[in-house]
Amino acid sequence: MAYKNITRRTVLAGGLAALFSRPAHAQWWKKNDDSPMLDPQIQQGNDRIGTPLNALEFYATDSKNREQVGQSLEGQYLLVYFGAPHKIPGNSCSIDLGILDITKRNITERYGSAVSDHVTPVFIFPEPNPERDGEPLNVKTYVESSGREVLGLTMPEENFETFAKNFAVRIQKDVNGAIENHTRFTYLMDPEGKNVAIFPADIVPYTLIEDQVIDVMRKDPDIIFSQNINQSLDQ
Amino acid sequence: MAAFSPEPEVESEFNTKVKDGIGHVAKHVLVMGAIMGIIAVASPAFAAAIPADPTIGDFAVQMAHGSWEMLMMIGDALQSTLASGWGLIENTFQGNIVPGTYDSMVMSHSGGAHAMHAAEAGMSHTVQAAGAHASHAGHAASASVELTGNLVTPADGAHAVHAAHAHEAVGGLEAASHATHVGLEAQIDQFSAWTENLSPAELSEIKEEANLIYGQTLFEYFQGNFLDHGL
Repeated sequence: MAYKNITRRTVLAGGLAALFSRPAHAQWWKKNDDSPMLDPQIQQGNDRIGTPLNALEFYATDSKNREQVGQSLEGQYLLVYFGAPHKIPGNSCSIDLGILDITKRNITERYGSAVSDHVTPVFIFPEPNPERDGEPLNVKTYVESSGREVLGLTMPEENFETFAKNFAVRIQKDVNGAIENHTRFTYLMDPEGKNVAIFPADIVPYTLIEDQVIDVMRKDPDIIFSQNINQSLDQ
Repeated sequence: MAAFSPEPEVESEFNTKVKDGIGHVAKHVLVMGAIMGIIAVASPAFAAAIPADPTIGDFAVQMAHGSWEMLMMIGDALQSTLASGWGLIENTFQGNIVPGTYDSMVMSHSGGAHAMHAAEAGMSHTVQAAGAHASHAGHAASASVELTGNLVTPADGAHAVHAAHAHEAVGGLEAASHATHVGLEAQIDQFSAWTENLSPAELSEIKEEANLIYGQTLFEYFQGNFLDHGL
């Protein structure tokens, strides 16, 4: 069957039009792996992660009650980390907590408290059981000691395990029921409780965490970045 | 890169990756074939071969021709790749190489032994070179003593120092290589023990979380979370 009205020029024009009519970056024949994250080490947030913290039964490690803590977390960008209250031999969770503490300090130093007041690193752990697990040194060192920036939230063990599952956190226990190991991811949650980024343990350099947090916060119209501080950073 | 694990899931991940690669090439063949077909049909150069009013058949012939050419080109490329990477592939299927990510790999015990052997061979060359430098320096020094009565000239001294440094460097390399080898062996052992303590259902669930939520292979997930760093 001949197509009398189709010339070679028509075919060529049609072919070229099909080639150039799509956006240059839209490679439709393969999966789009473009990531909005600042670095490939950082994973984009996942809808399967997270539960709004102010909806849970927990209490902070200081004198605040649950309602007070819930209010203080409203409008906050949270860096959520799960772990054990005691130090785990061979594990590096104490390093992770130290990095979260430094992250908040660095944001304050670089962008001022007007910005860093919107960021809270949160350490979630089961109620300490010193008789079984030993002294809760992680809590004492990174939460309760003077000037630390990490907010400690604790809850009964059974609630902690359920809560941890909502964040795809894996806990391994020894024969006595003490936490022997756990996953070491840090989850960045936006004020609506949505997971927007996941940081792996041992991210290099660790300052990528603060850079990513700031990158997300810059898109929030409610947060005012000081012009002067930004200018000084650019220099 | 390919994958090897004591449990079969990582291997199946490798197979999936290979399938994805084949699918990707096939799509390229189709797309490029279509483009070549369009250009061929429309080109005045093919005017003699194709009637002025091309039929669907003409179009299909040209598309097939373009696809075939493209397939041959890809075949050639794959043949070259296989020729150069066959040893790597063979080692992978023999379990001598374990991947960390798809763009890097970690060697297991026997793979590591091969690497050590290669490194040692390289080192012995370096040692020989260093020895040659030393003997050269010594020869020059003795010649210098014989001819001039001076003990060692500054140039000969520098040569000897270089040779000594080369020897030290070889020692450092040996130590570093050994440490890396031992470290990787320990990681592989820990990974095996970790997977053995998990039920197939748990392992499957963890692997899904690692892939879909954290964008990691099972081995990366283990390294980042459960590897005992000895801290």
